[in-house]
Amino acid sequence: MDIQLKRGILEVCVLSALQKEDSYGYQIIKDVSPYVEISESTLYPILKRLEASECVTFYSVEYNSRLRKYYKITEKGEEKISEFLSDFKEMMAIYQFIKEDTSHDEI
Amino acid sequence: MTKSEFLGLLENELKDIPDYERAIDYYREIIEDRMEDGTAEEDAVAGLDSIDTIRNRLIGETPLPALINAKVSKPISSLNVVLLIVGFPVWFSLLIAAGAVVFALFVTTAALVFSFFLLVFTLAIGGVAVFIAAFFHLGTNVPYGVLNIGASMMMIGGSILLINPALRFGQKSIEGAKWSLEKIKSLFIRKGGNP
Repeated sequence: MDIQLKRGILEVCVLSALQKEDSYGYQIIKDVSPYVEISESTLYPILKRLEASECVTFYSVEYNSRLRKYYKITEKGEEKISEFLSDFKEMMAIYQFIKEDTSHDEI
Repeated sequence: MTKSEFLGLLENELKDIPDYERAIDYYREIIEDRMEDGTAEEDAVAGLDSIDTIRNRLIGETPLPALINAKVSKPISSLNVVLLIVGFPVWFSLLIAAGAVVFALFVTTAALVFSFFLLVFTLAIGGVAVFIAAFFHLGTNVPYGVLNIGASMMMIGGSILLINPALRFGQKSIEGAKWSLEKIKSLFIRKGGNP
C-alpha cells in the first residue's frame, strides 16, 4: 500500500480506537493490529502527530505503581474521522467507476 | 536483552533527538505492559523493532531544523566553555583549515572535470580545423596535406574515444561531491561527542 495512504489510514484507525474509549500505547496496538499492520515504532510518531495537530490529548494515570499514559480523542479528532469517512465514500464511487471501466475493457 | 539494557541503549541512540525522554517513557511503558500481559522480559524486548529502526523513524518524523536546534541548544558545561575559549586559536584555525581543504578538493575536482571536457572539445575542434586545412595544403604540398589529414583523424578519433570516459568522470565526480556533502551534513546530525 502507498506509504502516504497507509499513514493517513493508520491515523484514523488510532483515532477510531480512541473513540471507543481512552487508551494507552500497548492497547491501541492490540486494537488496531488485527486490521492494519502496526508496530510500536510506527505508533509513536502517529501519536505525536495526532497530538501536534490537536486531535488527541493525553493524561497520566498511576497503574501498578507506575505511570501509564492514556490518550483521549478531541473534537478535532472526531472531525478527522468524519472527514475520512466522507472522503472514503467518494473514493468508493471512484473505485466503482474505475472497476467498471476495467471490466468493460476486459470484455 | 533486559528492559533496562534496551532502554539504556535506546537513550544513548536517541540523545540528539528533541523530546527523546518521551520516547524512552513510551517504550518503557510498552515493555512493562507486554510483561504484565504475560510475556517474558527478554521476549518483550525482542518483540520490539530494532533500535536503528526506532531511531530512523523518529528522525524521519522530526524536521531538520528541530534536530539541529536540539543539537545546538544542548547545555554546555562550564569546563567545555573554558576549553572552547582557551582552545579557540587552535580549533578555529583547524576548522578554517579543514574547510579550506574540503573547498580545495571540490574546486580541484571541478577543475579536473572541466579540463577533461576541454581536452575532448579541443581535440574535436582542432581535428576538424586541421582536416579543413589539409585540403588547402594538398594543393601546394601533398605529403604535408596527407600528414595533416592523418593528424586530424587522430585528433577526432582521440576526442571520440575520450567522450565516454569524460562523461563518466564528470558523473562520478558529481556523485562523489553529493556523497561527501551528505557525509558532512550527517556530521551535524549524528550522535557523538560535542567538543
